[in-house]
Amino acid sequence: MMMADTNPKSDENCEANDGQLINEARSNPAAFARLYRRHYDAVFRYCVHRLFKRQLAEDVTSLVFLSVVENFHRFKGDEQDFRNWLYTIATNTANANLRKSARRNDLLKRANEQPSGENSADESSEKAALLQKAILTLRPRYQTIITLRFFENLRLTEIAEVLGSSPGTVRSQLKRALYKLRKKVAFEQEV
Amino acid sequence: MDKREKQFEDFTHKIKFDDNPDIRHRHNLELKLLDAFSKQTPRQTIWRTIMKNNITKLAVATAVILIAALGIVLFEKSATTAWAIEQTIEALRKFNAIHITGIAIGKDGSKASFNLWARAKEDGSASDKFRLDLDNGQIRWVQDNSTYNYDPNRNMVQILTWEEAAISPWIGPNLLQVLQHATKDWAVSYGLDPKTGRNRAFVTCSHPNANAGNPRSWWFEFDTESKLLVSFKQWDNLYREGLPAFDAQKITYYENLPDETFDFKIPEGAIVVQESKLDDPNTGMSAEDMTQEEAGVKIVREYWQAVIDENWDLVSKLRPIAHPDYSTMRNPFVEIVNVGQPYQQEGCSIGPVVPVTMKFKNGDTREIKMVTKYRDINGKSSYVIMGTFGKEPEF
Repeated sequence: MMMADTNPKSDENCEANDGQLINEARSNPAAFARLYRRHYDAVFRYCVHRLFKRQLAEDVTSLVFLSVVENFHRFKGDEQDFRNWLYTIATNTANANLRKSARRNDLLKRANEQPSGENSADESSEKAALLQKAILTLRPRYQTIITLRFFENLRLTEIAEVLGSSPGTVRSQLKRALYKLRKKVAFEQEV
Repeated sequence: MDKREKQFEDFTHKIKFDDNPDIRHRHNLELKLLDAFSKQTPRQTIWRTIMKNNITKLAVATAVILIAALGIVLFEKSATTAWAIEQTIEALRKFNAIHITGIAIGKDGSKASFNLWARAKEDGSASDKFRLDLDNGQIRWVQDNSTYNYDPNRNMVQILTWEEAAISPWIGPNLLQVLQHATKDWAVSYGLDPKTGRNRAFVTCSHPNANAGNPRSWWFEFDTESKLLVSFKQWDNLYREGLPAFDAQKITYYENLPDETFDFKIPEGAIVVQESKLDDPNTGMSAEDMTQEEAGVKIVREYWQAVIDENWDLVSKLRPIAHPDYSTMRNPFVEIVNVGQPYQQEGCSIGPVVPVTMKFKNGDTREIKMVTKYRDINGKSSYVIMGTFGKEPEF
């Protein structure tokens, strides 16, 4: 699986320190563009992992960054906070998208139509289809926690920050989410 | 990480997602964002900039200072023999433009030097051209009934499609007649200007309700030879206590000033934002058949309920400018704990302030002061939320 790069310092545009870039980006379009390029990939991948569909993920990614432009002047914090803020916006935007029942039903239908078993093109596709189907049955909050924890590699404290919750709550919700997932996907057998 | 988590992590590692970003989408979105950046609508920014920045607050105070002298009750005062305000009134008739230099002082003691140029309308009732330059580079000017605010730090020009800065009444006969007749404790004394040795007349006066129910007091300096008002100070209290809020240290009069004096060329690359939603009758809440108190409480309650319900269309309607995007809050509001009664907040001349106590998802509560405004558009009364008095809840 391709893992999202959640470390902004690994980006090619890291010559300005985080605080400087955030401050410059408030009034300088070029600096804002650099900040955007630094975070685009992580947001896009997160959206793919939440929505399982490239086109939809691109649309949501666009909405996320447009929301950032509109609200950037209200943002307070460093780049770590900025990354968490991006995940918050992306989470809310993706959830709003999923709440549209037609969209969710469409995704579920497509997930059910994924090839499986002997007709599967490869094992990875089969697992992805199974996982998608299982995850989409979870509550959006559980979906978020699963995605942030296992696909974006965020720590519980970071997930708590994104969700405006406590690490303890996230921990217990993660356990419940995994318990529910286990009923749908036999991931224990994969070890 | 417990066993089940580890098992699930291993499971996910074996899945290959098609999650490589498309460079074309990334590039195209970047172009769209930069375009949006340059055309950013001011629904969040205008109010924030005006209310958050102390210097801009001073600019606002400066702009409305003379407007506040109106709306007060007239009563007679006698003039002195050595100098009479009637002489000043007569002397001012031939001047249609002024330049004022001085200092505006915020409640927190922050100071801003300013240069203000203004030119009177043909009927002499108020200014039709206005430009205010603050020493930090901020500029406010009025052109074709719109108000422009330039912030060099953000390289941003905000355009308000109404006249928010004016000298009204004009510093001329009308203003002085109002001041003479309406203020309390009008007192005249005489002295010399220590710099020039010229004879001066000094007037002190006050009024308890000069500014939306709040007191103001003044000190005026007149040149007894030219009869002109040459400086004045204004305090936001009755007894000229402490530093004045507005200190017009030098007033220069002109028969006229050319248009070029007021011109300002928007710098290349500046972000220009425009706001006119306040004039839109489809915004706000109808206040027909309601007292202003009832309407103030109702609109604030409806607004916050809309925030809780994530009814963003209604949020935008009730607060057409400067409404934050609450959907991006990590600790959202979940309950209206209490809505208080509207009151006149010192330092806020826009409209009544309605306090509301909101509860966050994490259980914290916070009082937020909502600034409301009464409107009469096409004979229909309505209320609109203008913003918050003080800081917005932050992310």
